Amino acid sequence: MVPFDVILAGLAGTFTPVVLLYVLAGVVIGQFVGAVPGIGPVMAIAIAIPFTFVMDPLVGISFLVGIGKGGLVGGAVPAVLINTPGTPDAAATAFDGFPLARQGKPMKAMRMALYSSVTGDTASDIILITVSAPLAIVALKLGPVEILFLLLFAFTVIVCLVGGTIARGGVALFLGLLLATIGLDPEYATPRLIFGQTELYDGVPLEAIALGILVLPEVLRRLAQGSGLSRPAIEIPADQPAADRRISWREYWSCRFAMLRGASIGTVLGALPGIGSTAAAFIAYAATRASAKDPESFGKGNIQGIAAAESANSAVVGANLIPLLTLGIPGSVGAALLIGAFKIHGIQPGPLLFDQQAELIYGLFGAMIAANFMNFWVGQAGMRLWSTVVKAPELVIFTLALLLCITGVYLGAGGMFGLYTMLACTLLGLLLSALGISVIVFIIAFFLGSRFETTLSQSYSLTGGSLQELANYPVALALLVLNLAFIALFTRNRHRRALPD
Amino acid sequence: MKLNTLLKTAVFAAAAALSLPQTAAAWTPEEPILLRIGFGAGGETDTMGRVLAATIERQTGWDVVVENRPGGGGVAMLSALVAEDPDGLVLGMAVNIPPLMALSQRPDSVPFTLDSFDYIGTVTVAETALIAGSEAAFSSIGELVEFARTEGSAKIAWDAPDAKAILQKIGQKEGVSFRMVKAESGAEMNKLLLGGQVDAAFGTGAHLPFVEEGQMKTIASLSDKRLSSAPDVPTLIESGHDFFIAPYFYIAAPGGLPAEVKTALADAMDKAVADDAVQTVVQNAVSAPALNLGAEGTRKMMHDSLAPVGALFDQ
Repeated sequence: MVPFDVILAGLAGTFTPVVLLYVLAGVVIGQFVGAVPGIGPVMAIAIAIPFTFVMDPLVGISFLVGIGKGGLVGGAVPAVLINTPGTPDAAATAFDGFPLARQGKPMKAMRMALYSSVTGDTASDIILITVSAPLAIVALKLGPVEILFLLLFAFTVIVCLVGGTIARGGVALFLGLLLATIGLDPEYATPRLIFGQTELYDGVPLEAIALGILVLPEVLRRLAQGSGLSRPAIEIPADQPAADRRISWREYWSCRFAMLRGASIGTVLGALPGIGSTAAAFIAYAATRASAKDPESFGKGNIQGIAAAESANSAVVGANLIPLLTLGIPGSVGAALLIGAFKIHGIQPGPLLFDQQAELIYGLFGAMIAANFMNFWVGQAGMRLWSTVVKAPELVIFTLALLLCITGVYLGAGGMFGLYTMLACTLLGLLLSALGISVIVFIIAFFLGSRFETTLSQSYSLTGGSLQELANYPVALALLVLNLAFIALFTRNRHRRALPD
Repeated sequence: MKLNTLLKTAVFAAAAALSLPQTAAAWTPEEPILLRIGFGAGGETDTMGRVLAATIERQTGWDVVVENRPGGGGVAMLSALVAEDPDGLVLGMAVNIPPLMALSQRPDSVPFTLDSFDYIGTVTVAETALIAGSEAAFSSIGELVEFARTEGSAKIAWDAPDAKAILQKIGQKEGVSFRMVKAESGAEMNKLLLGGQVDAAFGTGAHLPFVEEGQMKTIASLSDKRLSSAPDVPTLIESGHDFFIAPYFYIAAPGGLPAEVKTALADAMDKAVADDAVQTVVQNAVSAPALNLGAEGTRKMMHDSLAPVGALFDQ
């Protein structure tokens, strides 16, 4: 156990002007790059890492964590305002956030997103600070076979609850996984489906897919519908009652179960490497809709939906640090970048971290809590800015978004190649939407695809390819049973619900 | 007239005298140098490359702009690099194993050979260890083979194909089964080892805190010499298995650089690698000291490594 005076010294380290200033700078940068489509917090962290080499470790790492946390709050802003998530994590937020904004209540939607994001983030930070060691040991015991079956379960949930019909969801799933196989195969490094393009060795760049599928189709659609009129992207009634701008305590409290569910799902999935916040947000959203008394009100501006999605995606970030700090294992791309930041200071995240660097770690914990408060205040201020920005004519907003997407993908995904890939993905996205195939299921399948393939090949190696050896993995079998039960229950309920028609 | 000639001579002499000490590095770039890193932003290669670039800027006053060109462990970056003009303004940073593997396995699929490049120098060579949980019943490669024989198989996590190939060769030779489990990083190998899902794994630095903590042990060195982190542990070669891996991080330029450009670049690189900032970041990133083989040394290393790397993948 870390002595109490070390914890206090660490926390005292946080509350120095330099650290607080850098956390604030990180949060502001994070919210900005999160809110503006194109660059995104992960890219911003990657760009910032070499600069932290000259900083004190606590300052540098707090700064990067600030960017990550700010990014999640910022990502919800364009999702709510113009239906184009700034980061893929916020795609689920758009489901209810955008309809609410279209009803002329963008402030209300952004407030709900901010409050639930900060709530989910704080909850998972508290779990990280208090019980990360035992949670990390549980995560360690879940090996590739268990993760494989967990991923299969996640696929089932997403196909059934987000995919429309099972057949259409299944097609989307298959196409997403197919796209994820482009590049070198993990086992023998054989190039697959690259058609001579060496740039595709590492697969289709994530940025190109995220922007091409989630953002550009909406931007193009809105530009096409603009018909030259200079109307604002969102109309806000001039004499709007306060209740349509604010979230009352009662409304916040009514979302407590949605946020609790979101934070729990986010924390659990965040502690397991490789699943990520986008899937967590959709699973939490789907679970909240499935358990609601009025599921048909979701997708039409229900604040419960915003609360579930935002609390889940933010909870992932704190929980990602559980395996990172205790075992040195990154749970996401952002967390992997943080390991790099620790390492350039000669600090190796892992079991010795709490012994050797206790002061730094508690300083970091202090900085995370401080970042949550700053996220709240910067978010409040930023909201006014964004709601003003969105009053600009639609044509201006969407043209700017288009330019920012092009710049972002050029920076993040290898120059013109990234740009062409993004445009190809846009066409694919439009085609899928036209065919009624869920782009959400498609993109989550793509995000999880390489993890799925790796765990599949790992499981094959571990068991020597023998199905009998699966008997040695009771947790995996339990997940399989749960999965089948879910499918059975879902098809039966759907059948029953369909009967009155 | 005479004065004029005298003046001219004096000016010429002064210019010659001023430029004399610089003849070795007469070339200075007139535009920013682009350093393309064959891996994504934020990784070990990226971090080392960026600090190297910043150090060269500080020491020479040149502009060095870093760009990430990930794909195939640097093969994508090198494939594009061969098409650039050899004017010293575009350089690439890569790790030698992926291009050597591509050249020995499927030379037709890559648009370059080893001679398509001019080599500027190396930054470091990473060390690879074979590791196991501290409770494991084996403490050497020989005992691991016997363990696999009695248990039916041993599960070994890998993330670099050359390390995997070495263990497979040893398994074939000894007639035992190694179940080789692919991991995506050193961190994931640690996870699999600590979680008890595999019996052994490879370590390239991320494992060191666990060795120090007493949760893991080093059972062999896969480098051609003993590891700086575990000098008591023998190499595979010492244990009678004639294999080793030496992943060099190196800088190359499109082939055909003018001699003075190449010399200037190699000198700048040599000074930068000797700098404290680079030494520190290399040690922190790969847990091995910075090492520059020089322009000629790097070229020789690439040519000498091709056959051994190819031999690893012969069936």
